[in-house]
Amino acid sequence: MNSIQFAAGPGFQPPSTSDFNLPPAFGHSLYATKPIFLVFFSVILISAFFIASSRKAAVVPSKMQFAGEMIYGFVRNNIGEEIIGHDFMRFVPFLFTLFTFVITNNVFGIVPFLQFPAMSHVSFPYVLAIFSFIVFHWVGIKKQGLGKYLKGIAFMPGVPKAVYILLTPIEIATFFLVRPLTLSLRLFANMFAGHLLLLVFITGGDYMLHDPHLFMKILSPFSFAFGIGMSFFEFMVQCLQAYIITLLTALFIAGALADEH
Amino acid sequence: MLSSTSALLQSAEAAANPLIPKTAELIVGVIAFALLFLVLRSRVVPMFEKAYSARTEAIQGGMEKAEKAQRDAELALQQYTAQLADARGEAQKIREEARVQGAAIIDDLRSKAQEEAARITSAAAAQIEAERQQAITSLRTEVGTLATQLASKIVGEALEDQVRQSRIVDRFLEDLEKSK
Amino acid sequence: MTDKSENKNSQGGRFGAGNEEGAAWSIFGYLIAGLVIWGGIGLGLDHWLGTHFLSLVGLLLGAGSSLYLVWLRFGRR
Repeated sequence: MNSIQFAAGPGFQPPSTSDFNLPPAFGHSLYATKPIFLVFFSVILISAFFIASSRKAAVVPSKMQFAGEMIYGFVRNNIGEEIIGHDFMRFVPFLFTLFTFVITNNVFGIVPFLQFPAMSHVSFPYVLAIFSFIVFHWVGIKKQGLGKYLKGIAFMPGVPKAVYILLTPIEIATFFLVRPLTLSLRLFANMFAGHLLLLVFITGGDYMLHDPHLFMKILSPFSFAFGIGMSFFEFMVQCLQAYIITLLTALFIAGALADEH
Repeated sequence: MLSSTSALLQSAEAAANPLIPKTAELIVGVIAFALLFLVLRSRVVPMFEKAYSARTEAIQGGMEKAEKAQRDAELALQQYTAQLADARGEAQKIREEARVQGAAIIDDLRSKAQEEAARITSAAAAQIEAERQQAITSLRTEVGTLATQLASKIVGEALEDQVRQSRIVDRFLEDLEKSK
Repeated sequence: MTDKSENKNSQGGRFGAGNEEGAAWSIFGYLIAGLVIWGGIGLGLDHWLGTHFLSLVGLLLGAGSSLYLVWLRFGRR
C-alpha cells in the first residue's frame, strides 16, 4: 500500500486490500464486523422472504409467491433437475440454500448503505466450497462405497497401466484440490475485484470533488457516473457467480452419482 | 503500513493476504449457512413443492374435467342424433299412414258417390218406367173410350155392355200392335 | 474396448456432451490440475537436484497428460 501511495503529501490513495479489513463495528469483538453482520442479515432476509412467499402455497400464486417460486423453480428445474436428473430432489434444499445465500450476499455489494459483498472475504467462499466438497464426495461414497469411489477417481478404465503414473495425480488433484479451490476462489476473486473496482471510481470521484483544482471538480461526476455504470455490470457478475457456484456444485454431485471413472 | 491505519487494523495483520481466511468468519459462515439450510429445507422447500403438486393436480383435474365434459357432450350429441333419426322415421311413418288413410278415404268417398249416383239413376229410371206404365195404362183407357165412342158412333149401336166393349177394344189394340 | 469402458462412454456422454457447459468447466479443472501438479513436481525436483529444466518438463508433461485425460473423458466415442 505504501509503495503505491503518491509521494507528494496527502495525495489520492488508491483502494487496496486493506480496504477489505473493516474494523469491528463496536467493541473489540472479532465477530462484530460488517461482513459478519451482513451474513447474518442475509440469513434473516432470505428466510423471511421465502417463508412469507411460500407460506400459503396457493395454487394461484400471489405476486410475492410468484417471485419466490420463480427463484426456487430456477434452482430446482434449471439447475437441479437439468444437471442431476433422476433423484435430484434430495439436493434441491442444499442447492437452493447455496444459490440464495450467495446471490443475496453478492448483491449486498451494490445495495446502498450495505455496499459490501461478504464473499469478498475469502472465508465465506471457503466455507461454501467445504460444504460443496463434503456433499459431493459423501454422495459418491454413499452411492458406490468408499473404496470403489476412490478407485473410480484415481484409476479410470481403458488406459495402459503405466499411464496411471501421469494421470492419477491429476485426477486426485482435480477432485480434492482444484474443484474446491476454483469453486471458492472464482467467487472470491470476482467479488473482491468487483468491489475494488467500484471503490476506485467512487473514492476517486470523491477525491476529485474535494480537489482544489476546478478541472478535477469537473471531472469528478464522470468518475461517479462510471462507478454507477459499473454497479450495473457488477450486478450481472454477482448473479452470474451465484449461478456458477450452484451449477458447478450440481455438476459435481451429478458426476459423483453417475461416473465410475 | 501507515501507523494511522494500522491502529485501526490490529486484527488485519494476519489478513493482509486476502487468501488467508479468518477463523471468526469461518465459524460464522458455517453457522449462517447451516441455519439457512435448515430453515429453507424445513419451511420453504416443502411448501413450494406442495404448491407445485397442487398446481399439477389442479391442471390435471381440470383436464380430466374437460375430457369428461367432452365425453358427455358427445354422448348427448349421439343421443340427440338418434332421437332425431327416430323422430324422422316416426314422421315418415305418420306421413305414410296419412297418405294411405287419405287414399282410403278418397276411395271410400268415390265409391260412395258412385253408389249414390247409381242409386239416383236407378231410382229415376224406375220412376220413369212407372210413369210410362201409368201413361200407357191411362192412354189405353182413354184411347179405348174414345175408340169405343168412335166405333159406336160409326157402328151406330150402343155398346153398353162393358165386357163386350173392352173385348172389342183389346182385340182392336192387339190388331193395332200386330200391324205395327 | 472392454465392457467397462463402453459403460464409461455412455456416462461420459451424459456428463460431457449431455451438458456442454459442464464439460467446459471440468476440462478447465483438469488443465489447471495437470499444470499445477506436474509443474509443481518439476519445480520441486529442480530445487532438490539443483537443475533448471525439470519444471519446464513438468509443465509440458502436465499439459500433455491433462489433454490426454480430457480426451479420455470427453473426446472418446
